[in-house]
Parts: sequence; C-alpha cells; structure tokens
Amino acid sequence: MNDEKFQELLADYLAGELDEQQAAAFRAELESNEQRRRLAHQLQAAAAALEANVLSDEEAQRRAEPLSLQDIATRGVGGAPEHASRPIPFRYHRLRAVLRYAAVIVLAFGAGFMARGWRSDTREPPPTPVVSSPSINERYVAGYQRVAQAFPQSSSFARSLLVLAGR
Amino acid sequence: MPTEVAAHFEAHRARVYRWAYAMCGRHEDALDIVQEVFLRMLRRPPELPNIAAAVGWLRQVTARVVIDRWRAESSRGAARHEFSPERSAGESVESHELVECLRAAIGTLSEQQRLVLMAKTYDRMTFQQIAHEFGIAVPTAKTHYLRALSAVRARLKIDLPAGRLS
Repeated sequence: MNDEKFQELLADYLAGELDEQQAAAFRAELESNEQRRRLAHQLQAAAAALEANVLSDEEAQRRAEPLSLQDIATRGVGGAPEHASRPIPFRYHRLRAVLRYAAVIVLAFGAGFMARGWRSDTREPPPTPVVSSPSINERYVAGYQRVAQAFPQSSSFARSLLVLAGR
Repeated sequence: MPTEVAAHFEAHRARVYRWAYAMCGRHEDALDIVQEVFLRMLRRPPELPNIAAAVGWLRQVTARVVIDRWRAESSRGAARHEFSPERSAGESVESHELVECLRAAIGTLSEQQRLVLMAKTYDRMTFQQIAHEFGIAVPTAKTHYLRALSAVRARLKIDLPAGRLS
C-alpha cells in the first residue's frame, strides 16, 4: 500500500468511516508495519483528546438555554465589550507612558531643528551692543571691531568678553 | 430584530455553544462566544438560503471569534484559566491543561483545516459531506483532517508505544 492510499484509509479509519471488513483489513495492514501502526495509534489518541470537551446535544441545549437574543441585541447596542472591564496589565501602562514621553521628546527635537533651520536662512549679524554712555559706547564699538578683525571666527559673545577684558 | 436571525438563534445556539465549549472548555467563555457570534449576525445578517449554509456560516464565524478571542487574550497577557472556586464542577485542572494544548494546536491550523476539523470532530460529518460543503475534493478534506490531528498530536506530545489499535 503506497503512502497516499495509506493516508486516505487512515483518515477514514480514524473518522470511523470504514466498515467492519475494511477496518479489519486496515488493522492487518497496520500490524505488518510498525511505523504506520505507531502513527495511527498516536493520531487516534489526538482524535480522542479533541473529543474530550465535546458535549452531547442535550447538554449543550441545556447550557445555552439561558441565552436570549434580546439580551444579545441590547448588549450590542449599549453594552461594553466583554473584555472592557478587565484591568490592563501593568507593563502596558508602562509602555504607554514610555511611548508618550518618547513622542514628546521627538516632537521637541523636531520643533527645535525646524526653528534652527528657519533662523539660519534669515540670520542677521549680531546687533552692535548698546552701552549707556555714548563715549563708552564708541570705545566699545571700536574695540569690538578690532577684536572682530583679529578673531573673525569668534562669536559675538567671545568678542564682547574680549572687549570688556581690555583686549 | 430580524426574524431570520431569531430563527437561526433558536435553531443553532446550542450547536454554536457546543463548538465554542469544545474549543474553549469553559462555560463562561462559550456563552460569550455564542453571544458574539449572534451579535455579528444581528449587525450584518448574511444571506443564508438553507440550513447547511447557516451552519457553515456559523461554524466559520465561531472559529473566527474563538481565534480572535485567543489572540486578544494572548496580547493582553490575560490569565485565562486560573483556578477559581467559582469554576463549575467537572472542569478540572487537567482538562484546562488539555484545553490549553488543544488551543495551541488549533491556533496553528489554517482556517480550512480548522473548519474541517470542527466539522469532522464536533459535527461528525463524513468526508463526503465536508468536501461538498467546503467545495473541496474528498482527499483534500482527509488531508486537512490528518494535518489537524498531527498538529494536536505534536502539541500534546503524544508518543505512545505502538500497541494494538482498538
């Protein structure tokens, strides 16, 4: 018996669709082949396990009796889903919080980069510092320009410091 | 409320309960599943010209509801079968372990394998009837059945000595 034929007969055998004569012939076939006998035995046990929770029609009828379509329809209109009242496990709370913080950080960085990009296109030279006394202001501006020439790469803050430091 | 749905509910709620209980092994879960199945029917009443079509539709939707429920429970990390004093008599820890294994095995099947398994095991349909209802060849129905049993065997780690078959 080839594998294909064996599988077909095995399915019929396990499902109880062989008559007595066919079943006896199939059992004889199994007796002659250890591997096939083992497979058939294991699948028979699996089929039995599947039937462990199968109720009789009467029992199922009795258990399903309290259900009413009216209640189901009501539940469908106004009722919450069955799982809605179950508490959400802690790790999901934590995951949500982490995601929320991550989103805030990403948005903040994004906004910062965008603002910087806009400013770089329209950036103007730093304004000339204004000091209260006109003479001091003139001296400061002259000093600032000297420092700017001496240190062209320096920032306005560094130039201001250098001017104030008397350089 | 559509009268057709009411008629299907009266005729088939016990059948749907039987499928749901066979897959879940828990009375409360089975009741929830029956409600969900008929709720779906109420929301979108299908065209069911005869009883076979109705049973086929219900079987398919029941399997989907059960699988959806399992997936939701898995993603929520819900403890499905913790022991509780309220558990009805006859639902032993062993049976719950068995249900967990069956659930894992059934979850690995394709939809058609699952439906063939349900039709064969829970409704005791012949392969000829299954092939006719699902529009597949009889050998294909048998192959689906054997694959489903193999998945259960693998999940339950059935490794029996090669004894005489009953």
